[in-house]
Amino acid sequence: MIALLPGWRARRRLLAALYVGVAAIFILAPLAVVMIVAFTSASFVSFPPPGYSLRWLAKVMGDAAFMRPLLNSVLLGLAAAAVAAVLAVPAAVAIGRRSVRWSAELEAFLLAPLSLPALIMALALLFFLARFGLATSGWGLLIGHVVITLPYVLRTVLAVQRGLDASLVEAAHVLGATPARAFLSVTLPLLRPGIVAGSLFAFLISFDELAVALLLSSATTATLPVAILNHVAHNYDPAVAAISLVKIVLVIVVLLTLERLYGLDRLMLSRVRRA
Amino acid sequence: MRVRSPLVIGAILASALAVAVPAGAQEKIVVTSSGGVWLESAKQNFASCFKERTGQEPEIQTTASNEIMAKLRASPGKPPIHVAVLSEIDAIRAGREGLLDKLDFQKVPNLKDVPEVFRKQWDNFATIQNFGAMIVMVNGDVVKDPPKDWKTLIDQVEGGKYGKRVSFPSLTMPWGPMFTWFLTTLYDGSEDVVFQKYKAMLPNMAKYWVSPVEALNMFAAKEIDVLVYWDGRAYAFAGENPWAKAYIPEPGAFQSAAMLAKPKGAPELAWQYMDCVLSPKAQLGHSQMVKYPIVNSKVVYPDELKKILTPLEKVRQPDFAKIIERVPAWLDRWNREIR
Repeated sequence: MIALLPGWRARRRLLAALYVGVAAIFILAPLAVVMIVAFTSASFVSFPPPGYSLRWLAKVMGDAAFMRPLLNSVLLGLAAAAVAAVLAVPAAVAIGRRSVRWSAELEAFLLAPLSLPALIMALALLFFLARFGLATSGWGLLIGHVVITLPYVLRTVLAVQRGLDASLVEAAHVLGATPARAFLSVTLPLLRPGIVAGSLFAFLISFDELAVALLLSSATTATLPVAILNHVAHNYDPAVAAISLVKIVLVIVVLLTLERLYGLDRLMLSRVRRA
Repeated sequence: MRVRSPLVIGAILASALAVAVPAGAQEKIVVTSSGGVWLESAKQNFASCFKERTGQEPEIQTTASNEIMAKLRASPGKPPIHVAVLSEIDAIRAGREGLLDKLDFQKVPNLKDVPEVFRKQWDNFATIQNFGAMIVMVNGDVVKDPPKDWKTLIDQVEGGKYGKRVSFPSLTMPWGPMFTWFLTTLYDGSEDVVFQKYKAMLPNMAKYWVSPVEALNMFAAKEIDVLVYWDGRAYAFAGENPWAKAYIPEPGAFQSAAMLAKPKGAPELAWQYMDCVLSPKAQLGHSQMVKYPIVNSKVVYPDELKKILTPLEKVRQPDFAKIIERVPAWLDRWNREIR
């Protein structure tokens, strides 16, 4: 039995490696296909490409029909993440400390957008915002994206808030800090990993969001997913693969920049839990 | 370099807010188009004409028909879209729901050159701006002698002549009901026969396609040898790939169209844009770019374009009133028997 153990461990490692390898292939293969097709020389999407060229990358990089929505998506994602964070942090603190009545109900209310199908939420927002003349304005789109990204920031910040040592805030009060000072100097820095991780989530959710943007965007505020959908509905060229490659590279650059400036592991939740 | 203050992140995010939300009310008229080459054509042919006439640039929004309908229904009388390109069925529904203005022949003089058949079923709430037809594409290297008519093609698919390398449109795609209507015309109006045929073909159908992109990709990747597809794209593909052939089986095909309409409450300038869309010069330019036939009878196609456009006498305009009435029952039957 003891003699069999090393063989079993080796097989187990092999199986684990196989499992991870297969999972990695399933996750990475579609991305690889998109990245390869982005460099095709053909006029239609085909894999493997008959030849390689930069023509589609050049086309989308010089095409305002893709570049303006890309910029819109980036700005909207940043703005939605910022507003969602501003709204979610006080809510998470209040709910986490149970300093308001009905905190469980409030949490459920703020997380409610997650329970609705995105298209139903988008239709509801369209008809609701139309009453205020905001249906296809930039503000309406921002409101829509804040509604759908807020639960992600709230959940992340709330998880950190619930793990905080309440005695640290009490110590600040004992030492004479006002509630505002204690919040800014103690609570907020401790919540930072949750805020950054939640905001990053919010940005990525907004950046990729389609249903709300489809119904609430206008010619000037159309986002990249909307532009891609409208392109593929009637066009069969590989421009969508090229713009997808641009998008993937952009997300990687953002993550690398965050890593360079802040260190992603310092910002993320796992570090706090380890501490 | 490590930036530690969360305030820096906050400042970056907040500054995006100021930039992200465009200020000021929208003054321009908003028109719609499909994306890609359709958008290019709208800019090059329609918007340029409009600018010549009015000195103004329209905002061109790439939007699908069902999204336009949602927006019009959300803001009746104050439409966020001023010239809409709708699907045939949506145009009929929008007219019936009071969301559209009737076409004004005084304000759109080019309408007089658009035959009545392109407006009649829509009760003059909308006009066709261009149309196409669903035809057959085959891999010429494999299918050397494609059937000359639809019924033979269907029987051959049913008999397994092409193996499981065939794709027809699904009833659930936007033009699926029109294709189904067209098939009923081949079988003496019998829906039962058409659904029996759909069912009989199922074992030999690679897929009843829903996404046009997916369908053409399957054909381009040579996963299928026979594809029922739109003529403009089919001929364009065949032109670039000598192994691919496109043809119209007898007795022709059904008409599939883009409808042009002015939502109720849109500014008067919208008529000017519509007149531009229907002008002979813009219509010809549009046809040359998108490879679909247009509706202004004054347009004379160049020979190289004429040979790839489905002639009007080869297309049948669907009976949309009947289709609207039958769609719920057809979908129910499709979901129970075919899907």
